[in-house]
Amino acid sequence: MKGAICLRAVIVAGMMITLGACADGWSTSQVSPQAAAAGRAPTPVDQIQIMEGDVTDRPYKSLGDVSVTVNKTTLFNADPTREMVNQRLRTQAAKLGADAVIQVRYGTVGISALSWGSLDGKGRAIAYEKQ
Amino acid sequence: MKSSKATTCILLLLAAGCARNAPSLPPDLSHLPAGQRLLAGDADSPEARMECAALKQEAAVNKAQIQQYEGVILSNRGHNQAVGYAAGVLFPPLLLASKNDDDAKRNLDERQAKADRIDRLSKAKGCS
Repeated sequence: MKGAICLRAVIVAGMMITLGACADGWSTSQVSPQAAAAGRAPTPVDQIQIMEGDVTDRPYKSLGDVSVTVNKTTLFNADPTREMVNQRLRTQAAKLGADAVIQVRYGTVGISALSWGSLDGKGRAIAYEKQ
Repeated sequence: MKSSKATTCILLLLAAGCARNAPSLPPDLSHLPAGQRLLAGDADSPEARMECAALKQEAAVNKAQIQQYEGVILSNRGHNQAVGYAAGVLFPPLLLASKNDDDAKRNLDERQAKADRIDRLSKAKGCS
């Protein structure tokens, strides 16, 4: 009886590891949109620029601060990368109708309470004003 | 039963310290003209007295330091994962052996604040 339970546990663990290796990780996100974001049509995700500094050569409106966290599913997955964080930031900013995410900054990968590898990033979603 | 729950909570809190969160965003200064987007301490900082070329050089040095501190944290990543795994499977107090890299994390946050300041000053001075 005990042997059968052990065998089942090993099979389940093996399946979780195998399936986990296929996953791209899971993520969480937070958006604090300002009133300017309300009612804007979503932007195509691939058109959103990611910038680490401010923009001063074009007038823009801040739509809100966006923060995302990318987590790896199991110990055996690869660590999340900045490109994965950027992609999640783009996705969230697109929902606000943004043209770019500025002032982008990243944490460093490490163990968190819910993940073997967690990387977060933050930025400010903006929309350029028409000139 | 209660003590095992408490142990789990403590371990989770310890583990939570291993990832470094992204630093906070600077205040939104977009309502100001480009030349005036500075924070209170910016004008008194050592970087405020620098010309564009020196600011560019300082930004490059700062970036290199950021990469150096990130390298320190990255080099301990394998160790921390192994310790975390062994602690989870074998012996939870092993988690105390993980390297939290507090100095590197604090230095990274300071370098990010400096990078933001250099960016503000460069743009306020109209550097390309």
